[in-house]
Amino acid sequence: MSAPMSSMDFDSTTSISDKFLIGDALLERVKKIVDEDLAPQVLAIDREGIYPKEVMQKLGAAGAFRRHLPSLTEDGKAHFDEAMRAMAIVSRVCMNTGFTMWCQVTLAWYIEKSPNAEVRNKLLEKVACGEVLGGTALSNPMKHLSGIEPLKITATEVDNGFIINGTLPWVSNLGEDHWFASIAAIDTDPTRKVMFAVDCSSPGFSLRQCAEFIALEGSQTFACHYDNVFIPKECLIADPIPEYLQSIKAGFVFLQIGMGVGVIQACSDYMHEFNQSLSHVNCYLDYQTDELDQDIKDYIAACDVLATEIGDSSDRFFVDILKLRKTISELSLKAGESAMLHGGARSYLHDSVAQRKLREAYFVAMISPSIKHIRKEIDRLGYC
Amino acid sequence: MSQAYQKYICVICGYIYDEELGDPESGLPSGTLFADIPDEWECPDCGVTKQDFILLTAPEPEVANVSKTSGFDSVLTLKHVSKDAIVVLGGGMAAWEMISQLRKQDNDQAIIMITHCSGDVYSKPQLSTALNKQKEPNKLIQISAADQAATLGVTLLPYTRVLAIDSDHKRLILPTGGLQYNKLILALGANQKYIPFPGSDTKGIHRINDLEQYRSFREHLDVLDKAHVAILGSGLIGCEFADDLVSAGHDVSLIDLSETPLSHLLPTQLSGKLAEVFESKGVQIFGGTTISEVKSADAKLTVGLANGKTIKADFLISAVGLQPNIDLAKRSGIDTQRGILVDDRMQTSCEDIYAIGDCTEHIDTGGNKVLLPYIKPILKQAKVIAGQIAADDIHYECNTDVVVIKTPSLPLSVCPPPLKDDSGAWKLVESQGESMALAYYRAGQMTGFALSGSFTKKANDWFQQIKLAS
Ligand SMILES: Cc1cc2nc3c(=O)[nH]c(=O)nc-3n(C[C@H](O)[C@H](O)[C@H](O)COP(=O)(O)OP(=O)(O)OC[C@H]3O[C@@H](n4cnc5c(N)ncnc54)[C@H](O)[C@@H]3O)c2cc1C
Ligand SMILES: Cc1cc2nc3c(=O)[nH]c(=O)nc-3n(C[C@H](O)[C@H](O)[C@H](O)COP(=O)(O)OP(=O)(O)OC[C@H]3O[C@@H](n4cnc5c(N)ncnc54)[C@H](O)[C@@H]3O)c2cc1C
Repeated sequence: MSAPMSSMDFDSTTSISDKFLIGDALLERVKKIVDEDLAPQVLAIDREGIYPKEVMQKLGAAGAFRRHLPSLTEDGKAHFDEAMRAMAIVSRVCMNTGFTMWCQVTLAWYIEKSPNAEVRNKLLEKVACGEVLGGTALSNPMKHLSGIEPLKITATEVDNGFIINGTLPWVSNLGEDHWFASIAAIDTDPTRKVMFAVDCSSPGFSLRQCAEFIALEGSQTFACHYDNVFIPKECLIADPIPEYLQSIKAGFVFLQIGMGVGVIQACSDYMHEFNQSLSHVNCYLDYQTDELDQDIKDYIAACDVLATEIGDSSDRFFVDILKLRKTISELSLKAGESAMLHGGARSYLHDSVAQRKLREAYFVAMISPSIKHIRKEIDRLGYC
Repeated sequence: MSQAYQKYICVICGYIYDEELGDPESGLPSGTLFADIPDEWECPDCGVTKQDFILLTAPEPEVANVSKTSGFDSVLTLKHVSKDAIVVLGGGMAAWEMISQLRKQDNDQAIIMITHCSGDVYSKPQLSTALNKQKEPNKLIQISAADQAATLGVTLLPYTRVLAIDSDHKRLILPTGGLQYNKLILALGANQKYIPFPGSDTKGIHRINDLEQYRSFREHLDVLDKAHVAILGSGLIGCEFADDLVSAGHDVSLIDLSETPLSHLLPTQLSGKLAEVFESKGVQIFGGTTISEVKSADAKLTVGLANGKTIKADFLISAVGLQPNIDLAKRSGIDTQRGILVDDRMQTSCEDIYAIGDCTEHIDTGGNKVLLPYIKPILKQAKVIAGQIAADDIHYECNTDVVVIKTPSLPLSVCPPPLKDDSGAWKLVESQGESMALAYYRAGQMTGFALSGSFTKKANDWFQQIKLAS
């Protein structure tokens, strides 16, 4: 086993920016980790639910979780395009790991944007380098804000913090030693909400594995039960949350895109491969490789423009991001289906790439914000 | 005995407990009533107890408004027609005028409009007179975008921002996918310049150049009986809003580096007259200064001026000048300076890409680069582009024109002398109280004029004289 770089290796003579890779060097490193460490495990992750912990740690040590965090980049800018590309490289081979990567980088994004210096000092660097792994439980609050479902978590304010109760059905990239971010409504005034970081080993907190999924089984997805869990003030991410949420929304949604881009690129690889022997019949299919390749090229060009504007917290910009996000869902589904058809019976084999990519594509389309959620939200914001 | 079984939903994960089916895997035989479920029973999908279950009732019916949000679907279906289409980017007056000219010429040509706004048809000049005409912002809409698109036979992609143009491959990059075009017309408009004021977030600060921005301003303004509005910039837009607001009973402070309003356009005498009229109506003029900081607290702004004074205001309208929207063109390799550069065929530096309206920059007859952010040029430009596309080689002549300033307190009509023409001088020709007529003479020839009050009615006659002279 090659020793992953951990915070232990941190040498005070090298500055942080020397230690972590950036740009093409980072993406090449990510590709190497994927080829050498991740690729051999893909089936075990998908079928047996193995969690790719070591790969996650290596990705973090390489610098793949910090490109979008302006306080940690060499030039003080957020490089969302690189974050997206790194996630795409991973997802092209294993979207389960692309998704756990999303959980991680999104948690880091929340902490980066928190006005609370205590929580930033405590967690930002650790999450950004992968020393602490974790996730985000914002699906429920996002759906709540879109008028889809009630908020499921409540907070009682006490001296120095909050007591949290309630249950969330599924939150990913969790474990005993992981952290995640969550939102609760104050019991005495439900219009006030707070966002905070949770240590999964907190007394009263438990993770329950109940459901079995058709993919993403290696994402360590659990039901989260809070039974009088104390959250100290130093773990507050935002209070009050409205303006804060407005500032993280676009980044949250944009970061998911790398998953879909990777899935589509994998579908393209697969289709090209099968066209070597089957082009004489595959040419009768509706969605061809040249069209798909053009679509993904255009799509990445669109991402590259919007990636530079994530700091814009207007609803207007958020609608652009939602449309971009909806498109990746639709393209992923199309690509997944087309890959299935291009491979014919070979696609129907249990271990075929196409059927796995199709299952992953459905996840891109249903993880919050899902296609239906996005349409409802665009309507709610008055842009339809 | 037949029994009406009920269903209960887990509010945490959405699992549905159906009394008729029970949950045999957890030991609840079919027919187990919810009331009879033991307290220790757990939701099979997320592990909560029956406390987190509620009786399943149908949600409030809601009709999904998705027809127009299915952006990618429409790009998908458009893919196959768009390569032969004329695509117009923008949904303002220039875009609609362009489309009606194209339609006049060819009934079958596929035309696609892609716009970041709704595309609803309204007359933008009315934004600065709406208060006194007692018009709600939405009443300014003359016809909805969808209806106008149907009338003109146009495919409309509203609320869609074009992110890049790949002119080598004739492709448009949208958040909803890529799209081929045959001919492209940029009608991207302009925006009020953004100035980040030290000390402020953007709350209470408005830049108004379209209906959506105006609507947002009015939403805030209309809840106050009497508001105090500070306006930075006493140009055309700043003055029109100042007049409209003060006449509607609001307090107005007008701030500008120049001593008197509209000083770039008006001769000094007339600019001074406008200042007098404004002040008599209650506008406070802060000339020769600018804003040094803006602080907001308790829904009020404290506007600090460079001259040390402060103004307490409810809103600040920033109207320091229009800036053509050039980002998209610039990013896509189309030549720009202040605006998108066009030649006298209205063509940009890229083949098959034209531009029209507020986004453009022209070379006038005197060889100067000029912006023409007015309606009249749009009408002529649309004809030129439609002609060019139909292989009719007509050209656009960029001449001076009369500018009408909608300040009912002192109506103004100006024909500014050509740029760089500073060797002449203004002369007062006639004066009756607030009504004044001034002419600009250079080498014995009139090359410009400025009229106020009742004399503005004769603007056309004055303009004919200038045209004859040249
Ligand atoms: C493998 C996997 C991993 C996931 N990981 C995460 C994660 O890391 N973080 C995270 O936040 N989310 C996670 N999710 C959740 C995911 O993002 C979606 O939000 C979730 O799947 C539900 O979305 P939906 O589209 O099914 O909801 P919708 O179809 O929109 O359903 C609406 C919700 O309303 C609820 N509801 C319906 N009626 C009522 C009622 N009367 N009262 C109260 N509630 C009602 C339902 O229970 C349902 O949850 C994960 C899901 C999966 C499958
Ligand atoms: C208050 C006010 C009063 C005025 N009064 C007068 C007057 O009295 N007389 C006169 O002649 N003129 C007047 N004008 C100027 C006149 O209204 C404008 O010249 C004219 O409306 C410009 O039209 P346009 O279509 O070029 O630009 P706009 O109306 O700005 O339209 C631009 C369009 O482009 C879209 N767009 C921009 N970027 C993108 C993108 N990337 N992707 C897709 N779409 C995009 C926008 O959504 C918008 O639909 C006034 C202007 C104002 C603000």
